[in-house]
Amino acid sequence: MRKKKMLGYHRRRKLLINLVMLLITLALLMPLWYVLNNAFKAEQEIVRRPLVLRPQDFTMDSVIRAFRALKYPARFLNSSIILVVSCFFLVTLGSAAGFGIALSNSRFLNRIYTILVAIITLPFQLAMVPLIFMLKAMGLINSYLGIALVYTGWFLPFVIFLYTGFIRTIPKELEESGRVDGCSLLQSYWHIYLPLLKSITGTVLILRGVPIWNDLLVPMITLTRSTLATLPLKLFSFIGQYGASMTRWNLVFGGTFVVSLPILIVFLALQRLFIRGVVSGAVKG
Amino acid sequence: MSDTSAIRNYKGSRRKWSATTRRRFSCFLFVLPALLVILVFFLFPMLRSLQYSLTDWDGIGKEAKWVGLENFIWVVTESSFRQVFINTFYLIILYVPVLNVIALLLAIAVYNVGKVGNVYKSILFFPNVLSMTVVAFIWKIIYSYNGILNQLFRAFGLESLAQDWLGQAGTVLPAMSVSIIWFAIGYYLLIYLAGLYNVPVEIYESAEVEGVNPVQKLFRITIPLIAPSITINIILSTIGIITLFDLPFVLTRGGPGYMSETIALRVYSYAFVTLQTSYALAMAVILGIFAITITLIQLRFLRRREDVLL
Amino acid sequence: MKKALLVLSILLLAGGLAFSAGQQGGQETVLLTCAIHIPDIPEKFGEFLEIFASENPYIKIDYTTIEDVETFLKPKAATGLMPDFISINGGDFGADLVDRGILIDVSNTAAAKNTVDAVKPQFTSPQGKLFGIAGGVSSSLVYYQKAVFKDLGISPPKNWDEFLKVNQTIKGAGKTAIIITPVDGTIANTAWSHGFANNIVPSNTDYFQKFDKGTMNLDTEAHADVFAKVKMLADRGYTQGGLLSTAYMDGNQLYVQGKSVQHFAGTWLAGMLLPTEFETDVYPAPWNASGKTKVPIVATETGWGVAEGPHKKEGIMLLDWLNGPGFHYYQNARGNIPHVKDPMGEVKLDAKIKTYIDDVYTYKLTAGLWFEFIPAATMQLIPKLYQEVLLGQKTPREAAAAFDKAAKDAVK
Repeated sequence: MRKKKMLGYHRRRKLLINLVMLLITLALLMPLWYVLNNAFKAEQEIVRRPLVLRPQDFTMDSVIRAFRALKYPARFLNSSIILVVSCFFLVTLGSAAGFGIALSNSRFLNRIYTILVAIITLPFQLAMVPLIFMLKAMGLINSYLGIALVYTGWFLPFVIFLYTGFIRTIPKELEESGRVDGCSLLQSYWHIYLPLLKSITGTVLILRGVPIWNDLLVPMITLTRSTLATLPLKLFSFIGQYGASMTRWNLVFGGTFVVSLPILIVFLALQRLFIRGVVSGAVKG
Repeated sequence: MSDTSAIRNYKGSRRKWSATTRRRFSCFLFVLPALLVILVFFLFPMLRSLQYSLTDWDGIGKEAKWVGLENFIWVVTESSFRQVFINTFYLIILYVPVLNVIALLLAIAVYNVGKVGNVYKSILFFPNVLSMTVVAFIWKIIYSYNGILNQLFRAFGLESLAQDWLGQAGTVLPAMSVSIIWFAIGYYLLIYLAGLYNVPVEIYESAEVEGVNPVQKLFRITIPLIAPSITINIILSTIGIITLFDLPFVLTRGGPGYMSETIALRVYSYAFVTLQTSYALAMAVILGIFAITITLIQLRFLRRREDVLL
Repeated sequence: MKKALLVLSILLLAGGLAFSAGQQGGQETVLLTCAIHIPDIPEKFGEFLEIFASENPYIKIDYTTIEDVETFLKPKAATGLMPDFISINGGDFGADLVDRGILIDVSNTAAAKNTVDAVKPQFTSPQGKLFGIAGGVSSSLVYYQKAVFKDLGISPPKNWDEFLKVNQTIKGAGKTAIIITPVDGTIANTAWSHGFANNIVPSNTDYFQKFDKGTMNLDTEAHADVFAKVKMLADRGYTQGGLLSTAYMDGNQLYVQGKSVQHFAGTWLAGMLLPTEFETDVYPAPWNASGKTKVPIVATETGWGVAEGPHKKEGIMLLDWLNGPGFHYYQNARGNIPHVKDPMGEVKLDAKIKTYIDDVYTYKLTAGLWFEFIPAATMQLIPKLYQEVLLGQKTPREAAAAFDKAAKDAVK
């Protein structure tokens, strides 16, 4: 009898929670819907009917105009190259470092590791100004390599933290047995450990790749040539010219929509991976 | 004869010793490239900031005259700094507690709804994959005088509530905070959820049997058991809001007046707008000290609570 | 498999590095880097540059639009990364650049010879070098809806008191009287410049030099009034809703949509603000006290300069083209007041603007626009000070004092 009552109570509670959650998620989605439905409207309609997209109002015009004005393909390419190069550095240098730290029994390296973890909390602004002047002196302004190195230097401590934590969970016997078989450290890194790092690498790519793709500050201060601008940077300068002003809203909406599209597609396709990545990254924390 | 055997023995022991050292050295080689990059592109500039903040370096020439704390005194006594500091603090207060409370409650809700929770998780996390630039532009339009928020108020006859959200001193920071919470809530929700999953289900079950009511369950059981997650989230969200740049920059550029200018924005302004490099460095150092101090205080306070509760 | 991954990653890395290397290389074609400040017609100007490039096929254009000339160029000048062809304002910033040899002296170019003398002084350095060609003659004035004025029985006010009365009448009819834009430099182009011109210039006709030397005293009631006037307009409810978040283009769009009866803006916006659905006319800004002669604004518009460097020949070619055969593209897109003596091709200049500027030329005393004479480091202060005054955080006198201090500090 009591069990039945409890079951009913549970069910009612679940229903209530579901209702509340539904409302909350709908409220959260509102701003996104606001952008989405207005990206496909003409200027005047946005003000007249801000939340409803009637079939007769549908037009690709704003999106296409924004696409052209942003010189989208070039920007997309820029963002992609920066992402790939940065992630390449982060993954290779980070996994190697994590490997080295986790497998040595050196007190020295452990101390270095502790320092690295502490560095994670330091704000970027502390390094920002001299970093820019240094890049200028090295001729790395306006270069993909320069930006990638900035991101690498900034995010490596965190990436090393993730890799070290993960590798430490791998039983040491693996490396020892490799050594018995005559593997050098390099070989055991390459053949034994690297394949095992797939999942943590996925986490790294998501936790750092997304912020790199979306970042505004670093490209803004390291690039002077607009041809190298990334998507967020170009969106910013583009809208800054027109201002988020009344009748240009269709371009603002079209622009934000089209800039967000790639990451949205990736997210929708890889949702599980994203969430798993964030969660496992958090657990390590 | 005895000499050569002695030499041979000596060589042998040296070889054993160098194997371990060689291994240590190889491990170090694995770490070296990463260390170099971090040193050159992060630590070294940081030390330079500290060093040059005590000079009148303008970033371009090589000359840097020692001026001691003059830069710091100037930026701190500058008339608008007081407001900037208050803004930064105020934003922390507006953001960290609200974000964490909402995230925790949502996590508990998602935990309790079963399978459909995965859908909620995805939707709530959605804004986090957008660029902060995009988020800022979206909310800039929502909050604008003739934007959707005011339009809704006017449509429902609540004319008096329709205001210039981003142009008024009293509403700009809360409005900004809402947009940041919208962006970040999914991320923190997931962390709390992970913490909740770590709690053994039996504890909740036995609580049910004992007839513990939800409020007691929350405060007596849940919160103590996920204390590490709470600690992490509070520290992360605080550091995050202190160093936040992209969103405030695009949303308000620090306006109106200086009402939404944070210390992080100020560093950028000194460095790249008014081109006063030594002030930018002083402000950056202040930002660093501020962030580190608050983090340490939080760590001490929260870790102690963690120990007590566990 | 692993080998493939290794090869792939090396290829990717090489590709990325090659790309970055390639970005910095130059070949036989001349890549002319152009950094232009032209916020109302950025796309169009890019098109004009492409027309120039198509007439000179060995030149390729790298076109960047910039928000603020001084902020963008100062670090470039310091590190030697100056773009070849730049926008430059009249005033001490450009003068300093040409005297340091970073910009070239363009006095002997065809463009300079084709330019009216009136716009050369602001672009001439203390060493007598001409560092830029003005982009036009500019002024700021009040645009207004003719029909509304007729309906309400009012006519363009001639001084400040009449202006307040006109605004009161418009407000009484339930409309927004005037658009003020305090978020960015627009307010300096309008309210501040006219306030300065009428309150301060008559007793300080050597204000250019005073600013240079740091002897311009701005901690005065006269200067405080410059801020107080805008506060008065806001307090009396003559300005648009959402005042403190209205930026340059927001204000323009509001007027074009008919959301305000008057708009205080520059002559360079004539191309956008005059052809509205309703009839728009203009009148000189009535920032003078009743009984006092107006001091109108005659200023140069952001012009162009050429940097010293390997591409200066091509830069000069572009300069001559923009102020010669290609002038009409630019002029007709903006409809502002031409600075060239002989505009080749048909140029468009709205009759209303022509009437206005002909009238302005009759005044003996005129003043320049703010950015032509205030120290570069104080420019971003003016909008901020207005915002603080409008928020009630500073009194007009405190704002005046703050600006005075900053202007003097900047010269030290």
